[in-house]
Amino acid sequence: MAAVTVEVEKRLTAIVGAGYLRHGDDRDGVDGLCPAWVVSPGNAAEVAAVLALGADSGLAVVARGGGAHLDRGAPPRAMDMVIDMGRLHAIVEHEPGDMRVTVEPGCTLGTLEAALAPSGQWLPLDPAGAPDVSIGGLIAADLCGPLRPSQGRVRDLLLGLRVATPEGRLVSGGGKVVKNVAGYDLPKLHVGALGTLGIVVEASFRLRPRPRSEHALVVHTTGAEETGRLALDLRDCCEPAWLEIVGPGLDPAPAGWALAIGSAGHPAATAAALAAWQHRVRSDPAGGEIELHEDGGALRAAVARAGTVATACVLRASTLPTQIGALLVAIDETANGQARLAASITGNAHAAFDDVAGALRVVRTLRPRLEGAGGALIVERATAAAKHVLHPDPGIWGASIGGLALMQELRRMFDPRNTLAPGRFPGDP
Amino acid sequence: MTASNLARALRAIVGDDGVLDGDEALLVYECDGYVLERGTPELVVLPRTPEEAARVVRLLAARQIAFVPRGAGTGLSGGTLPLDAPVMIGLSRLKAIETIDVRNRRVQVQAGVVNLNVSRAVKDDGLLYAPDPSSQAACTIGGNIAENSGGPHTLKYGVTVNHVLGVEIVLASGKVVQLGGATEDLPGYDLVGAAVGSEGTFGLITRATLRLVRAPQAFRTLLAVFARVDDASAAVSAIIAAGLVPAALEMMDTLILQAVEQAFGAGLPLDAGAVLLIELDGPEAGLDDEAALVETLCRRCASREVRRAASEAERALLWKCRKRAFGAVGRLARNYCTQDGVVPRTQLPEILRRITRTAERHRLRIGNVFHAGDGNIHPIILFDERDNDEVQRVLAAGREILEACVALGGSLSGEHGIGVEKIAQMPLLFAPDDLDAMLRLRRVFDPDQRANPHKVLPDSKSCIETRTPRRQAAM
Repeated sequence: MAAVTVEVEKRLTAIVGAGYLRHGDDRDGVDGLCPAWVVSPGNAAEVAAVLALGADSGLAVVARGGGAHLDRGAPPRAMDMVIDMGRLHAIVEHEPGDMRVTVEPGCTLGTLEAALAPSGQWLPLDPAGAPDVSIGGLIAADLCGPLRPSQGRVRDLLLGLRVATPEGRLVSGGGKVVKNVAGYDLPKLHVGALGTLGIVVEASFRLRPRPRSEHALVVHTTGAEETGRLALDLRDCCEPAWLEIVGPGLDPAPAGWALAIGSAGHPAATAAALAAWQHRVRSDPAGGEIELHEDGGALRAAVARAGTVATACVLRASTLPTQIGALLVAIDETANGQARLAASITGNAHAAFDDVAGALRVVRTLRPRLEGAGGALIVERATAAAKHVLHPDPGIWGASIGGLALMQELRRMFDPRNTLAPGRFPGDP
Repeated sequence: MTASNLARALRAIVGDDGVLDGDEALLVYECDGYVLERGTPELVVLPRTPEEAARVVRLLAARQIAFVPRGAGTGLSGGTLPLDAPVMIGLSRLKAIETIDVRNRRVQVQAGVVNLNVSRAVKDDGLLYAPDPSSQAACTIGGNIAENSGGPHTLKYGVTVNHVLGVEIVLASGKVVQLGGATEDLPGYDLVGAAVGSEGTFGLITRATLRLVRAPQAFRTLLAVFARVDDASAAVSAIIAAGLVPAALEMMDTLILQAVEQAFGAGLPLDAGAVLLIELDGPEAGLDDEAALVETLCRRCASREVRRAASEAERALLWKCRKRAFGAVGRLARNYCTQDGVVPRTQLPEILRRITRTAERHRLRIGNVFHAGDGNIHPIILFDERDNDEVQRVLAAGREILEACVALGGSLSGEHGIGVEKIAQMPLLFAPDDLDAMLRLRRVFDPDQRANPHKVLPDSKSCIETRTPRRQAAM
């Protein structure tokens, strides 16, 4: 072992203690890379010290929360060290009267939910596999689920962050109050940044009251195009809490196309919404059989997973809500029916592939069209083997990103030595 | 290049009537809604299109001249006060609503479009633009984006940043950049989120793509009357604790009630310690039930009377009182200034007590009209600008209130911005490393700091100047 390596190990051990440093193995792989070290700091100061040591030693560092979303982004050029955030898992402060919670990144959504439930509050972010998602991963990967059209995304609920920087500093931005315009909104930059601008050590979120009731419908439909149109008609008929389109082969309607629509809130309002939607569906040629779901939350959790599970890769396409039906048709045709498709009313579609060839064809064919119309088509997640096929040509992220030069400069300003997952983000060298 | 040369070059871009450089013409531009400090630019340029605005910035970039952007000038923190910025770029002529996409609920507007005009343009389609600052009949979308403006309905609907999908920025270098757009979920860092609330220091925002929301099907607007401010605060907590999310939850105290009653004669109780204006909105079903619950909770917190707006006219009158409260205060004193601190909602009774003590200590009259549901206070300090001693006490009281907000775990500003007014207090809220990170972000957009210099982040110049208040004030 080289002298420099021995020295790094010695210094890492001095920071976190011998029990919290180990050599990387198969469990720690990211995009086919295996880290030399996995370090588990026990507090924010240790995270900052470990990260600074990595930066000073010229190492490539990847932060890890629950580890479930490390396959996002372009493959890092190198990965010498993984910083595992699991030991920072405390719920620091929950003040029900302020409807605000401050939490560490290693805490999972499931743990947080359980802690918030007695107060009748929740953090209304419901990504696929929500209970196991860590708060750090939630922020870094900008995860959200069906509730997004009514409750917003991470950016809409995040109040403040504390972040460890590659220079070993702990920087705070935002605050703990629900309305705050003092200074620039640094926290927003870390949402969806895949850990490339710093490592989150603490986050504050606004909370909302849990709805008193949540009911939902599944409407079986005749095809993607009609489902997209019907979805908007139902939205305009009565505002849903969530509305997802699900293609063949997926729950809750494996046999064909369907939409799932939910209402949450006062029981009288949810009942009225469901009645209005049923009435509307019955008068629409695209509307088929209707299933009533008393437990709207359970259906929503199932629908959140639709289109996000694959053995090769998952693509995410972004377009305008009115184009969602046509987009699903185009993906389905280009993929020769090999993709499992789901979409949100917000204009985002997921396509899950077990064979990377179909995904490659979709990216090559549809990305230029989507980008030309102001949308995007990215490889959201992929196995190491699939990424090898998809990257660098045609690439994980796409060709047309507004403000790319500013993003590259931002990366240089916040991570001057390119320490944090180098190569992962759009525009990374 | 001399000033007249510059004016000539700018006139070639924006037309003869687009450059103001006479003393009289510039007087209007010597301050915004924050009147305690004043200063005029050497000239004001008023481009007619976003493209002209970009040409103006390119011309200034070539000559390395700093500029300050200005919308309608309704800002309350002095964000448009020129500090080392010879040129002010006024965006009031960029008032085209360029596209309205009803089905996708998007609108693309130029920066000078007045906030209320967006909602008016889509009213017949059952949509609205949710952020509704009290100045919405005058303030512009560009200014709203610069300040990340709020309004009474942010409790349920969020602030400007939650409704901006994309912006076009002319960087100080003259380069035009499109960030975000009509489609959600574009890859890369959330530069739109960072640009909203950047107070004109990232460049000149010339266009924006906004999200529209469905106009609520029904409203219940209630006015709850309390003998004591503390009881009104307790009612706010009770409503939140019950799991209700009113569209708005606003408080007005005695002094404000007297001012608005004099102005509008809405029949408000002049002997009340405080009233809460509470609005519930959404689908008709269940709304009466929720309104009844609000009423019960208010009465349980010693409200002596809860009125319900029985018609759209009554609702409009109540909102007129609330939104024009600032103007009505003009009847009580020659001048007033307002603070914009935020506290955690549970600290509302404490901050209100501290404000009362501050008013007594400095022998000032302070009224309160504010977004109680958000914990965003707006103490209005009354004064006479001809009384220099009183002006000094106003400034001291303002500082004390903001320091109290920060000490209670809050923030310096909920929706008005830092501008010059609160710049000296930034170190109370942020450590040097935090401010350094913000400075780096600023340099990403504007490395030479020619867009609205000496704002938001304290530097040697801004601090020296603001620590000597009223440097150019009309005394």
